[in-house]
Amino acid sequence: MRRTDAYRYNDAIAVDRYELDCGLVVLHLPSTAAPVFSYQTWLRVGSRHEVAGKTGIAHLFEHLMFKGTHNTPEGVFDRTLEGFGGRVNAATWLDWTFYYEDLPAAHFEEVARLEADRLEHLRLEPDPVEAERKVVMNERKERVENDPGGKLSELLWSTAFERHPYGRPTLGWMEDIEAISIEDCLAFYRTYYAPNNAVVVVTGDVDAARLERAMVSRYGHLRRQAVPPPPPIVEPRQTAARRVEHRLQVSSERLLMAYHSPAVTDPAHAALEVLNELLFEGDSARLQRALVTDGELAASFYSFVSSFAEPGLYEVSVDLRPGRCADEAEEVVLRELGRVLRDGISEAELAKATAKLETRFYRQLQTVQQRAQGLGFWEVTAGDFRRLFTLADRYREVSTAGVAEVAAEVLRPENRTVVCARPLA
Amino acid sequence: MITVCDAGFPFVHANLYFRVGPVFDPTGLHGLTTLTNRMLMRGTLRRSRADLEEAIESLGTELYTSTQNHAVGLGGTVLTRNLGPFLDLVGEMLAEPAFDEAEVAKVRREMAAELEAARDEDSTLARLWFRRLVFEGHPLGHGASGSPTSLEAIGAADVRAHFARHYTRSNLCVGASGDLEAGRFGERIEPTLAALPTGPGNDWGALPEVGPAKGVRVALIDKPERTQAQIMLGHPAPDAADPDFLALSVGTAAFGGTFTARLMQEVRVKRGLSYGAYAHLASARVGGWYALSAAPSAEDTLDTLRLLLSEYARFVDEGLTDEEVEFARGYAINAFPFSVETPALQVAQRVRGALLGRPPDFLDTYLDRLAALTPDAVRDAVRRRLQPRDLVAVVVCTADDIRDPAADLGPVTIYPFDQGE
Repeated sequence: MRRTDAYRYNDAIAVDRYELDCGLVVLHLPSTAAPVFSYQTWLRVGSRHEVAGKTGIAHLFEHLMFKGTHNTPEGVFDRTLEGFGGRVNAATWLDWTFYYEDLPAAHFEEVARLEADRLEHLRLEPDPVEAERKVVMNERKERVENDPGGKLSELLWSTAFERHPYGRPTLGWMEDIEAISIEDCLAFYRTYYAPNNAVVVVTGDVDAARLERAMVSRYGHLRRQAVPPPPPIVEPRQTAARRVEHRLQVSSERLLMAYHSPAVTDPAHAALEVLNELLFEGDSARLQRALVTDGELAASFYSFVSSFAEPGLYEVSVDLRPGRCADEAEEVVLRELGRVLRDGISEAELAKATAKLETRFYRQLQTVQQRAQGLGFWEVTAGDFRRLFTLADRYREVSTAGVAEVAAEVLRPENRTVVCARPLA
Repeated sequence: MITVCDAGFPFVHANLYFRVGPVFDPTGLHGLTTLTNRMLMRGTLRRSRADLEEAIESLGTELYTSTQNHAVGLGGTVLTRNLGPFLDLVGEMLAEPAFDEAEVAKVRREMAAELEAARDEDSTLARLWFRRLVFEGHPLGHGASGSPTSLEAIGAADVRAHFARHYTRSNLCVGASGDLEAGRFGERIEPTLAALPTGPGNDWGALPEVGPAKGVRVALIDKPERTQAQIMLGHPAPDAADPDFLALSVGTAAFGGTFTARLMQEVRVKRGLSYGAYAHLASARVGGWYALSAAPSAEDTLDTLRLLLSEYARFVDEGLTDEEVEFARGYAINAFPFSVETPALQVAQRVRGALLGRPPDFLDTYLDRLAALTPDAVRDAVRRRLQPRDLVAVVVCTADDIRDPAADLGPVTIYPFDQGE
């Protein structure tokens, strides 16, 4: 295991990056502040790697990774780690999949053994796979079919993206979930769950010697393998506004808007976050006042600046109050966005937004799990874990001119997709 | 005042809690506690609401209000360099709240809109109806958000009276962590609180007894076009300071508190009936409750409901095995370091104990008390305090799907999802 990078953020936070011959990347941020550690395994595969007809396989497969191996019967993984007091789970999104285990410090070696085992020796049997398929179908019913917000978000993304796989749901279309076979899953496993497609992140009370022993003994014998890149699909530049009207079981109207937005590595991304902060975040935000506090149009709203490896969406969702119309909300949002485009933002607004983002940055570096998640995310999504620690600097470097520039590029009318949802008659 | 100093990062978490909850809402004014707390953010005698918001957020912070059953909270996270002005603003909000009638009306309308929107979320709907029916006829049955009717009745005078009565030093608990020394928190907090009267502390023991549930009642919250049901079944249960609470917590963890617990295995892993299946013992100062929950497909609703009821009865009647209890106890002991991993979490745990009426040494003796807990003590508490045959089963679903067969389980009542409080 050779060290490929060493980074020091402050007296308490320093990160070492290692690589094994098999291509596995290991990130290590030791700390003895509490007798615990987080162990995360990030795979550079998410739903953007799926092909049409097989949507949902990355997420279903994440569930199947808990179904046992040739060495470890189903249930033993979870039971063992829970017995240690562990918090265990996983998540899949467009660019990545990750698995985490947070445990007391004494159990590091056992976690490394179990994680390495399922990376190499997963076993899939028909009955557990069928039971898990049913679980995932229920998850989709809970998060999409019976959840207006989930359903409309899916509609928005699938409308905004014509070609790129970001337009397909990570949960998958129901008919695809039903049709995925064990053979599909095993092929997915053999293709993407390679050591050179993975990053192990260890934060907390584990020293470098223990780390190296475990990594070398558990992963050192693995071999690199060819991992196909994600489909080289570029979303064509949107040239005309898109609009969908939809009726569903909701108590009042809803408005969703989205603009294609920069990838997380784009220098403009931080400027868009700053813009979003002053438009939508907090009681003093322009849209909070225009939509809720003063305007009294909306019950609630949210905004989302996607942080993906490739260009994503800047999304706004507004839940109207009873009797109020989505068209009114659209007019208000467009008016405020237009004001930014016309007049820009003030230095005071910029200072406020960057100070709030700086506070949030510190808050997200507190627990071993937060640290591991930040490191894994930036290493896998942007290819550089250091970007976690330079985030506050990137916010501070944003200028009013930079905000105006990103607003002019992103908030173009022809770059917009709108979904209006009205209650069933 | 509960504080833990940590100079690792240049920020401070500071929160004020007052021991007042929705059960102290006057009759007919349900929602007043939540509304009063929100009104603290709506301007002072010196600053309009907009000026106050601007002043707070220009410091790089967002101030949050919260309402729990046992306390209301006001606080936020602030960069150390801005702690002084931040606490000055909080002090101004406590000393000179405007409680302007027009702002009260705005907050009333906001809360009414939120109530309406909550009906779109099936799991939220299940929780609202569960509370309403488990504590039917009791002040605990009214949620923190009130109802459109009760909100309409609230005026600025009610807010002022509620604030004067409950926002006292006797009801106050302060929690702070982070870079406190550099921010000179100790010397700055006292002027922040100077305007608060000593006042009487709230008497949580004066609330009426909760009547026991009798038999199994099925409440179908009827909503069109559901392809999935949200099930929440349960009954009133011991409060957080009850001597049986720890044993019940361990029993609940073994039964339905973790992924490998019995309930998740039976419902999800073996049968794939629901993404999640849990048992939950609420930590409450008053009005504790016990609930099992799951979200099956519409066609599996009745089977899942039956399974939950039978597993609950088996859990209470036959008891957990020694191995199950020891596993859950070990899990609680081993997982404890995560609950106090950071200074903010350490403060949060101690504040929570204080607000729930637990003894001051609750956290310090927690592991010893867990270690002393025997399987027999857990089984005994479960048998004495839980009621698998006296409960209400709330099911958000399309009622026609299960109305008739559900009658086998107990009396069925159908409530339209968009009616009630």
